[in-house]
Amino acid sequence: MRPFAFLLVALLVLVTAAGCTSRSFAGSSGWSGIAVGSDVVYVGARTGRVLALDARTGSQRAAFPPEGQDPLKGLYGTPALVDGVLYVPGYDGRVYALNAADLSLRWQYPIDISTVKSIVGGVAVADNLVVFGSSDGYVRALNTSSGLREWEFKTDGVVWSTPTISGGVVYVGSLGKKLYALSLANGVPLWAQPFEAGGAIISSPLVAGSRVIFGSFDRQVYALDAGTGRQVWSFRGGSWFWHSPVTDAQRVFVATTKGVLHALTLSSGQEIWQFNLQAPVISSPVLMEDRRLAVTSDGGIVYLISTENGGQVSTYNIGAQVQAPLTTDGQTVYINAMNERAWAIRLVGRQEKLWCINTKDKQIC
Amino acid sequence: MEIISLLWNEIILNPMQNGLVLLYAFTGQNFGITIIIFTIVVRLITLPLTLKQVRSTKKMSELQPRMAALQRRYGKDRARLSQETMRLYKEAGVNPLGCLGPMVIQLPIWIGLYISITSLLPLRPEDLAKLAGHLYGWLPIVNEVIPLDSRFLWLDLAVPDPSPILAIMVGLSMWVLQKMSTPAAGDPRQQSTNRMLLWMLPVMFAFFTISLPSGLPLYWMISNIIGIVIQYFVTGLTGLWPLFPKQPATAPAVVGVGEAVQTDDQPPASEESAHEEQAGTRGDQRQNGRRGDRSRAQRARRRTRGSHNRGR
Repeated sequence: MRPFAFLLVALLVLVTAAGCTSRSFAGSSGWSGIAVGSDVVYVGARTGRVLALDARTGSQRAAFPPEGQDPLKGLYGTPALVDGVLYVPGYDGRVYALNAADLSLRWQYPIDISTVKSIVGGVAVADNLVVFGSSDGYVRALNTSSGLREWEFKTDGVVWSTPTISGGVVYVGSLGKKLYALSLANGVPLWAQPFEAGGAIISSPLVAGSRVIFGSFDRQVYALDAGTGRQVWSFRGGSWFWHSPVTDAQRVFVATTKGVLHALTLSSGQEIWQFNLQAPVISSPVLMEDRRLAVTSDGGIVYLISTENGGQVSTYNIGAQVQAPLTTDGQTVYINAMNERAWAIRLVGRQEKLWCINTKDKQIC
Repeated sequence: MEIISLLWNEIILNPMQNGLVLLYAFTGQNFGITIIIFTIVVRLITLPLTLKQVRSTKKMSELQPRMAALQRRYGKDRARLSQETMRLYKEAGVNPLGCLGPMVIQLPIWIGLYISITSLLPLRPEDLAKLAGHLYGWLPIVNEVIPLDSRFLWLDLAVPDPSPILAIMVGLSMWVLQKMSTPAAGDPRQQSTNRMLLWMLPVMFAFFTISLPSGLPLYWMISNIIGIVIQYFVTGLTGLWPLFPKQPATAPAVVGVGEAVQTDDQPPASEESAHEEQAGTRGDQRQNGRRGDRSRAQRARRRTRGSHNRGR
């Protein structure tokens, strides 16, 4: 082959590779979890629309933005449903407050998105405030009625972590390796200084009693004293901890991006058992009402695990990568898979698929 | 297909990504500096190949008159022409495909670096999530410095440079490198092709620069500059002047971030005169002496071969 021809082939391959992994948003994307209402569930679809689906059948009741309007840029954070209002964090940097009944828009913040950056984490709602972190490094609190900003706090890095509100305190981590405790009322830091981990923090903090527990990219799970921010214990895993820990009041369950699920004692962080999912875990697990743990991974298999001994109770293969957090009403687990399909699978009692819908073409799958 | 993916990850992508993160951790956590050092390391590793290639290009250039003679003699008999050409290469100790080595190495580096940049400097959460599986668990520091800071000078290395500055620098450095490493071409058609290539490739790469994350064009630019330095030490600045000849006497031999490519130059009308020209214009006296000796030996061999042919 002549060198010039070879070079052209090389360039072609390069361009092809660039095209295959294009960074531009040709379409929408995301991994939003599913918010569960009494008879409706809300999916942040990868098509860039929030869908209200019948919890029993999966049929669509409403969409935001409505069909015919441009979709949102992407949806990563799980919507929060509080008092008939659905708060949706958009990857375009806006927070949308929608009427849960018909997904009509109540307000959006801000009006001008040129002033903000993308939101990857979810929102937390309490005391008439909706709190969220942004890629511009700010944690902001909006009035739930008006959508106006009540306060904002600049962290030391990008915030992709979903804030956790407990006892009038907002706990939130940043990619700048720090965990902050802020006053819900005014955003003032409450600890003498933020806790500094060895790696980035995307994990949403779990507040269990007087402990704040979260994972970090430095392969550690930390438990801090909620009042002072001092470290109580830590546990080292084999890879990043991305998702939010889950607790049954005795144990903490947390998995790594190498796919190893650890059960740790809440009091001391000692490992009780581990279970290997064989694929990266980005999706947060959920505790079912029978106190078993539902967890899934990039491998597309949903595992039901005994919290007592880590034994595998059952599996359900949905055949697609899952990175959105799992949600549950106690008996049924709701899954927003990366192949644009939303699932409702009953895991308590008789295991069965309730429905599966393609969020793109709305066909039953 | 899975095995290819596994090999790609284990042999190229994972070492590259972990190496880049390690460099980042030890170079003041500046990804621009990381890419510059990475480029220097890659160029050092491939230096033997590059030197071989540049020298091979030079040798090929010297063979052009003899190749032209073969062309004239066996032009209608392609099999014989090919046979004689290969014999000529063998006699001169030249491998016509030798110049491909550095280019073959560059290709996976480009693709690997592009993928690494998109993962290490993520614009979307998915890109960062993908990275988790590629970092070595036994190397704690690579996990701790993620995510990396993408700012370098005026650039955000994760996205294309919005100004034309980097594109101009990439195009210019590539043009200079090609210009410097271009051997003489006598055939007007070849001159025309070479002149087109001299401009087309820098323009193409400048165009790519506009649309690719600026970390990759930064690699190209630094690689070109290193290529210019190497070329300077091997052939000097002779190829660079004049910058814009009215009748281009040079043709590009180096393309694609400093990797030389031989072009099939045609000789001046008389091969003897071509040798005389080369001897008279190139290099120092010592080189000329060697080349003159070689030319005399080559002419003697040809005369002998010619008398054999006539004898038949």
